[in-house]
Amino acid sequence: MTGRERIRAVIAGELPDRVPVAVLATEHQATVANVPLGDLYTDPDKAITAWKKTLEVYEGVDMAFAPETGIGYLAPFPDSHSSWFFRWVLPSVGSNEIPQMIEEPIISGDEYPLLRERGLLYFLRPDRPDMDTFLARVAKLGKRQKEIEKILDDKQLWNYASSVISVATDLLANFRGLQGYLTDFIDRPDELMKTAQWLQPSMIKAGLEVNIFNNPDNTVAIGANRCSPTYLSPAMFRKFIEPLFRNVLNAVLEAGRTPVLHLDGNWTPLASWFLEMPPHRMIFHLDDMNDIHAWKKALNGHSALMGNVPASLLSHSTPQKVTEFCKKLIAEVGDGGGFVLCNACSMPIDAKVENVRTMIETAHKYGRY
Amino acid sequence: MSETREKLLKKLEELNFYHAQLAENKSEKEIQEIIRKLERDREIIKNIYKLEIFK
Repeated sequence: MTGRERIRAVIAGELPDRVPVAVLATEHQATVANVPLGDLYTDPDKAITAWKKTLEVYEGVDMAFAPETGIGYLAPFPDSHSSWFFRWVLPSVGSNEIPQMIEEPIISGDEYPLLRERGLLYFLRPDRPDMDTFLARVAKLGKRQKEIEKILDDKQLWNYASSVISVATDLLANFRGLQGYLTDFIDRPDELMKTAQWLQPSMIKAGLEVNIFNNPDNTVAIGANRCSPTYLSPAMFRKFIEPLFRNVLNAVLEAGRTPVLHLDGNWTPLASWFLEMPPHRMIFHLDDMNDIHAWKKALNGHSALMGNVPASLLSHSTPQKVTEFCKKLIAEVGDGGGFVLCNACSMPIDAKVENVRTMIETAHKYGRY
Repeated sequence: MSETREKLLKKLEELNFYHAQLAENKSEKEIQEIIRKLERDREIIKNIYKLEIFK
């Protein structure tokens, strides 16, 4: 089977020939290509070269990720990662500093009506990226589109996502700062939710219509963190977040797309909530705060799981310990199918290449069905 | 404050949340340039995405 066939089988609830394996490399591509991360953020050619190099070094993976490190931070896109609206400090040329958001309240609790009335463009940051530089980058990516598509086609890799839709409360958490956002659920829930409901349809529209490359797997990443049970109780999730989340999922499914749920924070207490969604239509990429074994039990074959090899293990441990950890995931979470072995969230820049290779080799060696 | 500067600041205030820090210690010409860039960026973004939240 090809990587694409393997992962399509996993999502469809069918048994592939072995456990698929994936590396969401993001910033780690700089380490693989031996180029400072900041260079990938400022030079699209270097970014694409690093992406190609990463696919070569990690030969044997079944999945490809977006071929443009940093574009999510650099685009004026309605998402919590956009440096057009939020104070993201991005690496400069020659630097290996990873992107960091300076979390500070932008609006007060009384200014939700102002946000709705004036719209997001009223909040364009003074230190936003340069528009012409951004447009030139998009044009460069467009020029190399055919080359990228050929690589993906030749390798027959399944594509993680070409676009993203976040739950709107994640964006509002950035506008209010974490403390203000959380207390707003108590102090002014109506204003918070009215604003989230105003934002969400546009965020869905943008996510469905704007794709950074031609994606034959029709996938869309759904991002959610600040509405996870790490911050809100399951009861609060049901009361406030469920309608938003359901709208996002339904919109993606109705568009005939495959949701890739990139869930940061510990979503384990809500795993069974997802049983209310149609089976065999989506895949959950879990970070290492989740108990993926409890997820496996809760979903019981309803949907596919991906993850959750911890960042700390890949950065600071040994190939032997990586093998042990991955063998356990393969044996227990991979039992009967429905599992893709992958790093939790995104790969840390300082992950050891030998550890990542070991993760891939473990899937090939011990993941056969 | 000159009438022109006052008008420019009012326009900037209508365009952008960060008007106060944008205009601080800036000349009229510099404020005009900030407004021009803001208007251009807003127009381009509106045309790319055509979203209700990008008014």
